[in-house]
Amino acid sequence: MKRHQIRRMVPGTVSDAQLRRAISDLGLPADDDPHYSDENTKAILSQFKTPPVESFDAIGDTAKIIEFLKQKAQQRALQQPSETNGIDDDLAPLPVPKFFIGDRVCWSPLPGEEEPLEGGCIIGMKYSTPNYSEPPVSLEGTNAEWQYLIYLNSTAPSRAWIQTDWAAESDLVFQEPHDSNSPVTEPEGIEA
Amino acid sequence: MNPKELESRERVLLRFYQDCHYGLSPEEFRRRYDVSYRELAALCQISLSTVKRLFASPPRRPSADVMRTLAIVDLLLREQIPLSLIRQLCPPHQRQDREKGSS
Repeated sequence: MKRHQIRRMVPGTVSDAQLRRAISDLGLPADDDPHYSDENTKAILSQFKTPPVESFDAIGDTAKIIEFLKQKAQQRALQQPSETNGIDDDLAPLPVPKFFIGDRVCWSPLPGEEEPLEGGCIIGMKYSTPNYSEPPVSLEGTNAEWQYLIYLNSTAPSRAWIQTDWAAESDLVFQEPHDSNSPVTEPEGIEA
Repeated sequence: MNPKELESRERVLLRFYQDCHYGLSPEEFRRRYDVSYRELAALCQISLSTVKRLFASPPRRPSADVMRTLAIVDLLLREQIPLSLIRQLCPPHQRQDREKGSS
């Protein structure tokens, strides 16, 4: 099968550059338009395969959805040429995010900070200047970085007045999963 | 009810508000009022962790929302603002209102 034929079988949002990259990632020629075997075609298509909607029949299965989003984010990170990540002409390629939806993180301790660290589960992300949106400026040349929307753990003190807050990537660390002495508790299910 | 047609003076006011950068920094707010980080966080509806970073070294810059909230609260604390206006600016929780309305 030729590349232009495979092109018609992948989602329309996949650019030709992404397709060529996916092909070369498999160690296959992608510069010209060679003929690919059925096996190779299947391997190429699998890189863009989206799980059928039926696999999400249990809409409440948050973990499954989170895993799916993670996979998609990781796929995007692998396909990181500028033409795929540059959202607009005046925006340079975005850095690969350190965290993804569903990751459990906490704010890194500040010097001298002794209180338990607040943390939670990432439920959203945006690329922006940290905690500042006015006046509107181009992201170029600023200290823009990935910002994450954190669904706070039920034990976080701030849960007394909010459920979520935004945090800059450089302010966050992964929550240690197996440390029983960790002040950050396992997040509970995400409530409405 | 049809939406009100704006007069030229009101259009000017809209443009004025569009360009308005009314704000007060958390640092200045704490210089004026003796409030804890916790009170500040609850007031601005942000986490304690974020507030700590607004006062860390180097400090994070506050969001426009935080700056505006602090400026409005400062205004409420400083000026003799009629209670009716304060009630319009700070209505009770919307959900409580709906619950009251439906009961």
